[in-house]
Amino acid sequence: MRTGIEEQYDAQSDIFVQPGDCRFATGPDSRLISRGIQSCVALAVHIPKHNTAALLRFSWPGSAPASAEHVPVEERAWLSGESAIPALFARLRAMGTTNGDMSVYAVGGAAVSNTPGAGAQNVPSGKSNELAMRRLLWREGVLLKGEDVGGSSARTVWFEAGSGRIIVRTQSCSARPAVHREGAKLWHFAS
Amino acid sequence: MAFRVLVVDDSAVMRQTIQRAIDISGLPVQHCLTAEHGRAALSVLKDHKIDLMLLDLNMPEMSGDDLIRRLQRDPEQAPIPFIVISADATAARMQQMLDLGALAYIPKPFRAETLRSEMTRALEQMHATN
Repeated sequence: MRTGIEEQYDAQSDIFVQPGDCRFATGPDSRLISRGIQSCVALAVHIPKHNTAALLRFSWPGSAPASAEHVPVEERAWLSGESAIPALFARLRAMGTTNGDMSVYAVGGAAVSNTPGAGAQNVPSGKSNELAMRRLLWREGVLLKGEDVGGSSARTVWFEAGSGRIIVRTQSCSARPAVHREGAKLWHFAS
Repeated sequence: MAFRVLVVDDSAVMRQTIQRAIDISGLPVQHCLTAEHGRAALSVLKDHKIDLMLLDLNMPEMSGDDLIRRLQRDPEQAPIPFIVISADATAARMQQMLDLGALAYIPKPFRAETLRSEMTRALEQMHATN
C-alpha cells in the first residue's frame, strides 16, 4: 500500500528505476525513483552543470549469476556493480562530465532477511554490494558525498534531477538520522 | 586558497593510499609531500612550508607523537596543524593526541570520505583562524 509520502512524491515526470537498470533524467521537474531497495545498491549521480541526474541500481557485486541469463545481454551490464559502475561513469564522461562536476550518493546494501531467495548461495549480501561499490568508486576516482547504506531495512529513494535532492524512506525504523557529509541533500523519512 | 600537506607514515602503501584519497577528494591541495617517519618529516619541514600534516603514530626512527613534541619545543617552529591517522585507536592514545593538539584522529582502516570530511573541517578551521 502506498503511503502519503509516495502519493505526494510520485508524479507524471517520474522515471522508475528497477533492479539492474540505470536511468538518466534532465530538467528541473524530473525525478528518478527506485522502490524497495534491499541488498541492491542505488548510486545517484547529480551533475548540476548539466542539470542532469543518473540513478543506477545494481543487484550483484561481480558477474551476474546464471539465473540472470534470461536478461538480454545489452541490459545485463547494469545488473552487476563490476560492469555497471564503469559503464555509468564512462557514459557520464562521454557527456563531458568530469569527476569534479559530479555529486555521488549511495543508498541500499541492506542485509534484509526477507529478500526473496535469501539464504540461497547465489544471493549476494548487501555488504558484498556495498564493498564492491566502494572498490569500484575508488578505481573511478570518485568519493561519495553522502550515503545511507547497510542496516536491515528496505529503502525507497526519490532523486530530484534539478536540485539533486535525495529523499530516502526506510520501512522499519522510526527515526533515522540523516547520513550526509556535505550539504543537506540526503533526507530521510521513516514509515 | 591552496594548501600544502605532508603525509608521514612508514608504510609506502598507506602513503600512496592517502595521496590518492587527497587527489580524488577535490580539496584545494597544491602539494602533497611525504615522509616515512618523524625524522624524515623534520627534514621536509626544514625546506618546505606545510599547512597540514597527516600523521601516523607508530613509526621507526621517530614516532608521530615524538615528532609533535619536538616541533612544539622548537621556539622557531610555527605550530603546524595535524590530523592523526593510526591503527592505534585506544581511547587513551586518542585522548593523548587530542591533548597534544590533533585536529582529528582517524583510526585505520579508514574510508577516503572520512579523510576528506576531516580534512575539510581542518582546512575550514585553519582558514577561519588565519
